[in-house]
Amino acid sequence: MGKKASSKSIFSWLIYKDPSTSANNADGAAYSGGGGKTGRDSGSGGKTGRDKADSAKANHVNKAGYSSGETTKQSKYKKTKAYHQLGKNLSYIENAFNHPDNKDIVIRRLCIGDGVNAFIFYLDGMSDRNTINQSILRPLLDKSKYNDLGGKNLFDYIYDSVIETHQIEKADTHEKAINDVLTGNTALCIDGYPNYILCETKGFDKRNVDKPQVEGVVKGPQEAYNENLRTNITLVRRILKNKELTTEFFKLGERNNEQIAVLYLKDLANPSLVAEVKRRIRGLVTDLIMSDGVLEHFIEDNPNSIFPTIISTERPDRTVAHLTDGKVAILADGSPFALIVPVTVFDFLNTPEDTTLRWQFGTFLRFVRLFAVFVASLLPGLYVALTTFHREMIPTDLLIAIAQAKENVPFPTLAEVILMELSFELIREAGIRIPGIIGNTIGIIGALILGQAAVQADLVSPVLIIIVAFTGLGNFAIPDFNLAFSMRIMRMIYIFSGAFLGFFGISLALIIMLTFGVSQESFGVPLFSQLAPTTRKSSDLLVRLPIWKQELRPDYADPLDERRQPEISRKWILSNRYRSNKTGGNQK
Amino acid sequence: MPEKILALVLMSVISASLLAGCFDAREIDDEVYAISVGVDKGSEGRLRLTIQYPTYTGPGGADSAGGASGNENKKAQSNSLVHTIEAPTMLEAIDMLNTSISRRVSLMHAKWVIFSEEYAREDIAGHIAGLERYNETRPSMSIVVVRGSAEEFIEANESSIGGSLSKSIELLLTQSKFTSLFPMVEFMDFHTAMISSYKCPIALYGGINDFDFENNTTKLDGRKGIIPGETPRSSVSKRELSGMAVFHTGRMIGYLDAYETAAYLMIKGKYRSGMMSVPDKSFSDKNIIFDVHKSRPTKIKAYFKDGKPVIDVTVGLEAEIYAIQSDVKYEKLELTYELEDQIKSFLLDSIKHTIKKSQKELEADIFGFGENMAGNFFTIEEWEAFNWLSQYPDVIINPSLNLKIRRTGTIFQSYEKIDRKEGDKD
Repeated sequence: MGKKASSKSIFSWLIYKDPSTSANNADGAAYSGGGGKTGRDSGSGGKTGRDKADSAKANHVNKAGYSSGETTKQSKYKKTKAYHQLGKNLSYIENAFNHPDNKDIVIRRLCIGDGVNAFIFYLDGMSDRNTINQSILRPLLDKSKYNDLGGKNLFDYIYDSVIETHQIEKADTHEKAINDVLTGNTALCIDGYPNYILCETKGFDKRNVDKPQVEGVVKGPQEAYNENLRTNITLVRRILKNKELTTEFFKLGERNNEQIAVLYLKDLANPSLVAEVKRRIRGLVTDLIMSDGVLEHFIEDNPNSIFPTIISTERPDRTVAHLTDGKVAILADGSPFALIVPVTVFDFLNTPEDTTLRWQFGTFLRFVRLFAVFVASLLPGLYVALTTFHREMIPTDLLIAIAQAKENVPFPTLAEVILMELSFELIREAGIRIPGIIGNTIGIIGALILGQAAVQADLVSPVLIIIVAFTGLGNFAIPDFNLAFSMRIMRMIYIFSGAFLGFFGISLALIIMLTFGVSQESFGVPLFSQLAPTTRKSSDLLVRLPIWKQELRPDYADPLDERRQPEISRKWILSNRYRSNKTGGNQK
Repeated sequence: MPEKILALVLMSVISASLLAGCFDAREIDDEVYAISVGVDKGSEGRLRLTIQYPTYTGPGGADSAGGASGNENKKAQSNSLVHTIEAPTMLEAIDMLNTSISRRVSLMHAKWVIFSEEYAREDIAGHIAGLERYNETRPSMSIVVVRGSAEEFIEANESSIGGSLSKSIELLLTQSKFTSLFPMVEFMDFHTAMISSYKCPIALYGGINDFDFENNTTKLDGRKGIIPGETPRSSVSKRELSGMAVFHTGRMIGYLDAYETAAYLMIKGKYRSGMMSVPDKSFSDKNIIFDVHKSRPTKIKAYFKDGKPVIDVTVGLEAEIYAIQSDVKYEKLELTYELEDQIKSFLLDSIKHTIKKSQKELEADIFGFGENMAGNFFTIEEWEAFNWLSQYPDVIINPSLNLKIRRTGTIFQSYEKIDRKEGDKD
């Protein structure tokens, strides 16, 4: 327990602080599955941090596969046991799926073996017809298969020996069968047995794995997630070939039964972090989780914060980089992004390219991005402050040039800046929405009309066009979309504070923002940790040291194994020295 | 709770904006920025203030004709305007200018304040102190004294190379780095020297040149004599700077000419570089041309000997031969040493002359030796009672010079001159 003190302080961030104030948490208490201790449970009592982690680890249950027992309890649907009578089951299912009005559900009655009635049901379009025909219907209806049941009852025999799909499961409630069918599987019900057999028959159209749309890089992998959860997990697993990579599934959303996958490395991620993530997900009751973005709102620490506290990435390689730091990734079905927790503000400024490139280049890029943050957030505000309060700071020639440009402009600087910023935001927003086929128009409108014509018409001064364009460039250079967005809003704050109080106002706004920023947490980890609070010196904070010098994982995630590689990871250097010493000795 | 926080935020925002105020916010084009300010003696005991500011008629003065025809301006030069007004004081004059100029006159970007010699010889301390207190004046602007009238000097101040007047002034002032014929003096230097008990203020010395070669009697031999306005030259802009004006508190008492200023800069250790021609010993009609620049900071030792203040000054310079007009091979080591001694004695004479002038003629410690001497006193009261500035004329000052010829330009050795026969042609 030599490092007890330090681990305790770190764990104190990881444990959720004040359960009584959190609505989510209240739900979590109400809906947490029996048995498994939640993070909140483990936070109580006078145990040390490490003890808590261990207890959480011990209680942690890992069930791979789609139909894990950890599905969220739903408030509207009570679980009903399946009946012995086929007719009652059939009418329950028909009722549940609104059959026959609902044309998507297919219910196929069968007569198997010695005239035993049965039926299968699946969702048309969600399931693969070939699999149903070849692996379920054909063997089921083959009379020769039922000659010798080998002492088993018909249900178990069919379960063990007839169905040929690669995944198969029993369900004793209607709801489990229905939920499974909703994901594209096929359920079989046999007369006289109060169980369903669930067969894996998922087969629906999906997009191919494509290039990243938002997080493009010049060098490095060019794969991005698509909307299929299985594919996305496979993309991660293909890079991270490790048996410790654990995937847990959760179902969220009463209306859409969204599948949520939580990925982590079992021997690396801190159990109390994993427990906290699972606790927050389990404790969610809502009717619709559309995507990871919606999930992010439900599980983030402070929904009112202007700073993002969860990274959303579309790159499997970036996900893997974070997983191997001992963090947790959350993927949602139908959304080509993974959420990563916990993160610090520096993670938002890093891209996978920093690591792919040589360390000098990567470091340079990071400084460029830091400059981009400065420009994107402060430049228009500084311009307003300089031109209205601190004219003595502008070089005389530039001052005269600005004054000359502004001579015929009828608006005050603040109005000019707001006008230009708004038109820039309009161009951005319109650019996303404009139909691709007439996409070139936006360039013409933006560049010609707003830029040139506005200057010629003396609506804005040319200097301001440069400022706004520069700011826009800075904003696009920020690698994270969410962070770029918060910079867009902060920019407005700085513009107004600069217009009202000059540099003094900007300094005030900066201090308020920073104070607010350092008080934010991402799953218990302070957003600015490594800087405030200071943790162990990082080799990958702003200056990225060579990859072989990055021996330890980030401190703030408190991984179970801190060491990434030995102190000397380039062993060949030793053998080189040995060799040169040896040859030197021979020469002597 | 949220109401409390909201109230707190509102209170701090409102009180901050009320206390710190956005009242001094002003649009950039609501002001004109005077870059030259001139002060002359006006009639009836008034002060005549002249300002010059760039107009906003667009680069290159494309549509300056329209602006220039208005009755606001007195005289349009390229893209700047000059206004003159008479008033009791400088700041009041600037205020009064706004009775005719439609934009507020700001001194934020003033590059230089120009006093006429006539006015400076009376007393400008009051104006300097007034400017010091005014929040718009920059401590980095220069103080210039002109022979003749400041108004004429400003009117003669045109930017002939490029369109930017402020750039032409800024760069003219920095030419001191290359010629060392006038110093760089900022407002703050002047002001601190004015109120100090151990040095006397100096200012740039300027003049208006009438480009009259015929009547120009300036003698350049012996490195004496150039004063502003009398440089034998012809050019576009009539204003010129050379030498420096010497003050006793706020009153001008004399000047150093261009070459004395060079010696002054050497003693101060601020001599950046400058060309110098020294007569060749072997040929009286030929010169050797040097570039001289600082090699080491000046060392000053100030102490008392037999109850008398003594100052030892060691100036460190180095020289580079740029031209040898005769065919004597001065690059040879023994000749180089001889040459070194020659330049040394030449420059040391100049330094001694300047020190002597400051002691006997000007009676003003322009070098700031007092700053070193003050170290010999334990309290400021003792120092003030000593009254350095009145003691200065009798101080023993021992200048010495370390000078080495380090380089010979881009040629190692002089080449043989080929004698041509009469009538030979290229």
